[in-house]
Amino acid sequence: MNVAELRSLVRHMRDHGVETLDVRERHARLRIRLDPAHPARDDGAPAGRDGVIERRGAAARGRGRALVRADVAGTFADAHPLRPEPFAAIGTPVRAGQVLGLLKVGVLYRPVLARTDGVLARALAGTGAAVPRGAPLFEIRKEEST
Amino acid sequence: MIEIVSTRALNTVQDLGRFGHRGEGVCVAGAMDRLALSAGNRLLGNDPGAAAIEVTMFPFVVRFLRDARFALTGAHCEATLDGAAVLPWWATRADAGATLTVGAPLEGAIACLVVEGGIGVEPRLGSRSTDLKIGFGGFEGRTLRKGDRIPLGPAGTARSARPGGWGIDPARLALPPVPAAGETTRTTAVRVMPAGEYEKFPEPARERFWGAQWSIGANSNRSAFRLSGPRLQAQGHGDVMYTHGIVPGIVQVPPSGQPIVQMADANTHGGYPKIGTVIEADRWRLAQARPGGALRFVPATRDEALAALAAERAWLGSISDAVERERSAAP
Repeated sequence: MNVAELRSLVRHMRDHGVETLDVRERHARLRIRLDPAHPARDDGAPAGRDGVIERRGAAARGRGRALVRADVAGTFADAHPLRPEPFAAIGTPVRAGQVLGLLKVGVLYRPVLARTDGVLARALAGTGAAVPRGAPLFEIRKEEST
Repeated sequence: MIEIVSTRALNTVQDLGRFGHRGEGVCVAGAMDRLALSAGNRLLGNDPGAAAIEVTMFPFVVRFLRDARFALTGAHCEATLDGAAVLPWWATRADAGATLTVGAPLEGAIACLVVEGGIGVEPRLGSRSTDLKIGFGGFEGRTLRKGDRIPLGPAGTARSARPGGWGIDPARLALPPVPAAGETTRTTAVRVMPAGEYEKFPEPARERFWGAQWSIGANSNRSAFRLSGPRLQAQGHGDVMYTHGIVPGIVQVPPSGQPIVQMADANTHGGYPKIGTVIEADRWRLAQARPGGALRFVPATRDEALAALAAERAWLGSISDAVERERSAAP
């Protein structure tokens, strides 16, 4: 791993609210901890990376944001093949259990479901992207509970 | 059970068809789009030949009287379950009391409502299909009516616990298109093999048969699609032959010169010259064409017909395999 890759990992951690990351490469092991006080950049970098084996804490939760992750490795789509419109548009409210996208594994589509009510803040994967299990696909901004 | 809340004429219970009784004048019947039925059954882990409801008239509304997984295949319809969108070619779960509304197709003509366990009517002559000509089989031998309570077969024991269900590509996207057909959403192309009397049609008639864009008549139904276009005329035998056995898919040319394609409720015999046969693998494409739509015939060899059928079977097999993996992997 070189410095550029390290920077990229840190950027991913900030983007997706990851506080602690353990990375294993052959016999080496690296633990990265982010200072929560440090401001996060928002450059919309693509998500998911081989070698990330563990994730601890979720600053995202603390900030009222939740990530929707791939529960299986597959090919992502934000719309049904017969329907041009995405399941949910960025900036619109979504409800827990709502279909946000599809993951295709072989011939079978599996739904990507919102786990929480909120507003769909960001898409983190593009249609046609091959995503690993656990890859963040969407960010949902949780609504203030009143 | 499911209860029919709202329906229009011509929606029926169908399975893959009733075979072995054509000699007694009993037609095959069965689903017009057998591929949609087979795919739906496989999505739910049903017996591949389980019966379903064929919906040709919309809107169609049913209420589930027990928890049941179901799939809507065939035509691409706007459908909702208690107001929530139901995806096409998707297996999902309905709670007892939930209402499914199937709206008019956006694409295609016939929807197939497949329910876990299949439609549990008693088989007649080895099939649960409705024979509308004789009036037996299916649900009381007739089309469905408001208030009908349709029995379901026993649900499988291997239940999926995964939320949201799963789905597949519709057949039109999953299977290779008819080659060199220039198919559009407005024109359906089907492959045809020359049939018994093909050689008795003079060359100009054959050219017109392959070259024309045929219009599907409004008087088309489960028995036959009636086409209009350039006039075809056989020679020799005259226009009518001794009556002989015919099968679904046969393209006959009556004295009017306007072809008739026999469909699921095909007559068991006929006397018109047969110019071709729509290959089995493309009969679902024809079933999904709407009256008023355009149709083209693409010549195919026996080998091409068998290869197309093999591709369909491989696709269906891959659905079964994938669903089996899901069911064993689900928590």
